[in-house]
Amino acid sequence: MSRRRSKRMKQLNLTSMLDVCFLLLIFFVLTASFDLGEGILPTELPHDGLSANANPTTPPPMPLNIALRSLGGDDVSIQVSGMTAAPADFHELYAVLADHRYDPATNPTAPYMEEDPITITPDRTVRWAHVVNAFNAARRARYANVQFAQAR
Amino acid sequence: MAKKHEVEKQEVSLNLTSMMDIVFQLIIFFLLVTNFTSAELPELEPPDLEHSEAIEIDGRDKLVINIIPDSSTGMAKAVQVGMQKIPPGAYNQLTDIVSQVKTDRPDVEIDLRADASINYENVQPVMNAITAAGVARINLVAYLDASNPKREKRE
Repeated sequence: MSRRRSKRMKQLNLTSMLDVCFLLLIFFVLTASFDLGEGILPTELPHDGLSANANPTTPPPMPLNIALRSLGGDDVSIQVSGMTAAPADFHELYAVLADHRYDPATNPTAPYMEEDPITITPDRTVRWAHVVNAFNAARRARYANVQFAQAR
Repeated sequence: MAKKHEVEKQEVSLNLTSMMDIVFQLIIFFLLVTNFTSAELPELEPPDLEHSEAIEIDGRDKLVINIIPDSSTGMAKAVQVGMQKIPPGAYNQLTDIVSQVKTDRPDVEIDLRADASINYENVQPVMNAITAAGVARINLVAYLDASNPKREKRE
């Protein structure tokens, strides 16, 4: 008799625990979103015509102005002041801006300093995504003082 | 006869241990990847940038100003500050709210979270309203860089 008893396996009843686990699983499957996380781009707002970083004692030869013009829908044209060739996209804009930023080691003849102001002047109907993309290109090119102008 | 009676008594039970293992693994996975949305962050699409310079900072005191789009027109449907919705055009109200929050919480950072599809003409008045509240510095909300989402963190 005792031999037969010892042969029996003692098992936990996991059914109710599994029920709860499945409920949790379904909840997380339904609520999960695989979007990228959101981050921030710190910027100065125009204040009395100058941003907090502006350095009025050493003005650049010609302030850099990025004009954004809506071409209807999602299309946009980018024009950088003083440059005849318009960048085709924001990666090209970054390349142009980086190429014009002074660096004693790699770019000693470039006319613009890191702290020189850059103004982004969008049309009223330009998408916010394009405006932030232009801002991002300037920040990526290591310009510290990027401002927004009033819409044209 | 007695033997037959014994056979009837035996219970058939599934061994659920390995299934539990898998279910627990899945729960842990989804628990880690889930981003719980807050009521203060309405559903909208912030700009998705080429080589985003956006950074992620944890634990800062922030006031998020959302510009919610009207999907049919590309114009702003409403501006939401915290839990409060302001109709487009009532920017004096926005200036008052931002001023009040700045007075109560001097270290608060203002995050401007606008939908990527909105026209600049809908964002500019909001920026002007924030400036009118005496704020010189704001944060623009955008998606992090897809290739390196944890690129940089400011102390």
